[in-house]
Amino acid sequence: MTISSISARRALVGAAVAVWVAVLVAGVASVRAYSFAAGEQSAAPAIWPIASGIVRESGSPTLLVFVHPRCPCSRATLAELRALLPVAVQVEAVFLRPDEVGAGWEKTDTWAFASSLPGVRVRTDVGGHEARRFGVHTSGQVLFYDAGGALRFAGGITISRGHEGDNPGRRALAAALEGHAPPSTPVYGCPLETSREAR
Amino acid sequence: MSQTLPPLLSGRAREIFERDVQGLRRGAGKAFLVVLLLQWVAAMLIAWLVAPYTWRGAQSSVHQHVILAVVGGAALNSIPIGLLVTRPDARFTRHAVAVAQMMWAALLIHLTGGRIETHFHIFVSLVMVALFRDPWVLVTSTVVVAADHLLRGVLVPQSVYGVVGPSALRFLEHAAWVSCECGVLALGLRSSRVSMLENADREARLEQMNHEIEAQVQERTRQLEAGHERFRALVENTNAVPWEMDLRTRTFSYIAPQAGRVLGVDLAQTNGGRGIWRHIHRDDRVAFLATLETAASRRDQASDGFDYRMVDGAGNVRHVRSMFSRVTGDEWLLRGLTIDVSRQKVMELELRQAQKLESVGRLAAGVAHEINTPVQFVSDSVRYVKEAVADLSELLEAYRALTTAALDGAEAKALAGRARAAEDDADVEYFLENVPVALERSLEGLGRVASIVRSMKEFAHPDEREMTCVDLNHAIQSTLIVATNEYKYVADVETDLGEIPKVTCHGGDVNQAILNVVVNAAHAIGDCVGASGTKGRITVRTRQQGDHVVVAIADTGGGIPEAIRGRVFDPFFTTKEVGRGTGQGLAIVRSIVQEKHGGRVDFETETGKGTTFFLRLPIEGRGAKKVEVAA
Repeated sequence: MTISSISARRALVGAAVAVWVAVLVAGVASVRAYSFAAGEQSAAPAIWPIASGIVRESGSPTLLVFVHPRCPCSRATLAELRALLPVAVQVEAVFLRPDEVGAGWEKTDTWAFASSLPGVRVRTDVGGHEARRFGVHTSGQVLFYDAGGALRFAGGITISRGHEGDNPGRRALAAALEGHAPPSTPVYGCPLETSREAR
Repeated sequence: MSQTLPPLLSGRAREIFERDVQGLRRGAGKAFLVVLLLQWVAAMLIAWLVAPYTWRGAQSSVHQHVILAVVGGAALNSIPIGLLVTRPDARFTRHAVAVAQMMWAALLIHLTGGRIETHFHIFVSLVMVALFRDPWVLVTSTVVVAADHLLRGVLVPQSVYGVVGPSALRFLEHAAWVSCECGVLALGLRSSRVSMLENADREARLEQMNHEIEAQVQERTRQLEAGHERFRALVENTNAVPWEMDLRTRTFSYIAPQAGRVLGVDLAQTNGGRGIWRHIHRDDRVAFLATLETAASRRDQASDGFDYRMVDGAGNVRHVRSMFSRVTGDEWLLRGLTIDVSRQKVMELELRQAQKLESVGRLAAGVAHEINTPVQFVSDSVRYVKEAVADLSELLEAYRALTTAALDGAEAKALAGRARAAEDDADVEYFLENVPVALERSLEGLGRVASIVRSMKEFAHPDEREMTCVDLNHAIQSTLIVATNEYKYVADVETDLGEIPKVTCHGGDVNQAILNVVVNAAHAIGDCVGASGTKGRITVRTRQQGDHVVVAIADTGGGIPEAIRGRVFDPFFTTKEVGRGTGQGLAIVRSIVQEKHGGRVDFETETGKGTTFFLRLPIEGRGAKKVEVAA
């Protein structure tokens, strides 16, 4: 093998490795971007909407968590909620069931997990009306209303899509449960509404 | 475990070390081929089981994790697997594998949603990377992990440390744990390297030793083969036939190839087989077998030699002699040598005959003297009878004249007186008394001459080739007659011949043996009595002892001195003066009695008193034991 062919071969290998490293870096960046891409979030009603089908217990703070039953990331949201599980707070897990699907569609492992959490009531939001009423667009969003019906917290309680662990959202909710008014936090989960094109 | 490097290694030791290390690295590379692929499959499974779809309302699409696992996993494995296949031994390959393996840890942690248990993959990966036996690869792995921690720790610390706003010490704590493991692994690698170097050095030395031993073995083998070839050429190019026999089976485990040429043996039948029996003369098989059985039963290591006859494929008879000895360490194995002594036998026969004739010649003067005496008797007697007959003739004439005159009526008185005078002259009384005696003496003398002549004839007659039944007592008497002149002046002979059966033997040879002993006895007595005029005594006895006949010949000579008793049977050994003996006498006696007849000759002697020789001969001839011989 001649020196020039050896050099060419080495150059080829070097180029392939460089491309590979670049692909890896791009892949890492892409993964990071996806993981930390927050879902759509609108302003939630500052006061509990009277038209809501969810009945508040009089004098009791209410915590709502909106869940797409098939979103894999929302299981982490429920796991974070389990870590907090406030007492003397009405906790409702609202599971979406789009109009396009039949009954029982929302009864998934996530539904079963939410049902197993002590003190958590699980309900179905057929057609996503409650979600729209509360301005929720992304699975995993948490809303906390105090005993007087005023909104104390709205946001996500995970660090990124599907990741459990200490995060600003969980701390914010904890602060809200103590009577503070923390700022909103990003929500990481699947969109609750089917796209307009698909409708 | 040694922690110090061995002294300077030989080039071969370094080669062995590099070979072993390369072997281990290749093994690690092959393991990583499998691990990388398995991790890819696992990632796809995890992604599909944990988060197969992402949703938008009722719509679903493949989750990014699945695409990440399939495409990202493939991309992650592409370069390392490609290098492992094409350049498995390259240093760069190991580093690329290390980078990919640590990146797999990050990917799997991400796919499992940051699960704390998945973080253990990092520590397992470091151990696996250490299998490359290259501490620099550990450095690469550590750098990748540190870079990931650093980057995410700055940007999203919660994803690394699980808390928001960790202190800087948390990074150091993580780094310390990883460094600790890398440090331990590095120590282990170093220790392993030292052990491998020592092993390589040991193996190189063993190889060297092996080469040297092999070279020595080859040289020894070459020398052995050369020696073996030389020995084989020596052994197989002579007229002596070496052989080896198993006494248990009576088969030859080896017989030299020249047996076919020298002995006329069919080698195909003989080697390992019992075909030898067909080549042994029918009459010698029993003796041959008896010799083998004696060799088997006795612990004697060697035989002096055993003569017998063999018959080749064409029916020709050969005289052979076998000498053998037991193999040290194996009581059932005999090794021997067989030579064709046919020519020697012919020469011995001729020599014996010549010796016999020489004996006859030596005895001729004595025999002539022995014959002369009776012939003298006959001559004197016949002369006397002649003279007496002459006188009787004159008397007869006188009586005739008287008778005629009487018949004619003439005066017979004068004639009677002349007749009376003639009778007186003839001394008829003397005649009548002595002529019969003279005639008797003549007949006696002639008988003695006839006896001597007959004895000489019997003695000098050449032997038949086969043995015959011989009356030993008669043979002894004939021999004593022949040898009369040798002993009659110095010794009287007494015989005590017992009732013995006829002995199967070569009569002429036995006569020769007895003659030699008798002559020796006469000479021994003669040396003692000298010119004193006294006589000694030679006593000849025969007795039967079991299946043997013993001829004992005793003399009253001076005995055999102790210093020479062991040599008396040696050929050409003699104590007689030059011209009186050739030293062959007793050697011939032993040859005849022991070798030719399978008997035994020994003696008892007492200095100053005399010597007795015992000749033991088997009655039925050589090999008298009746044993079945399977051919």
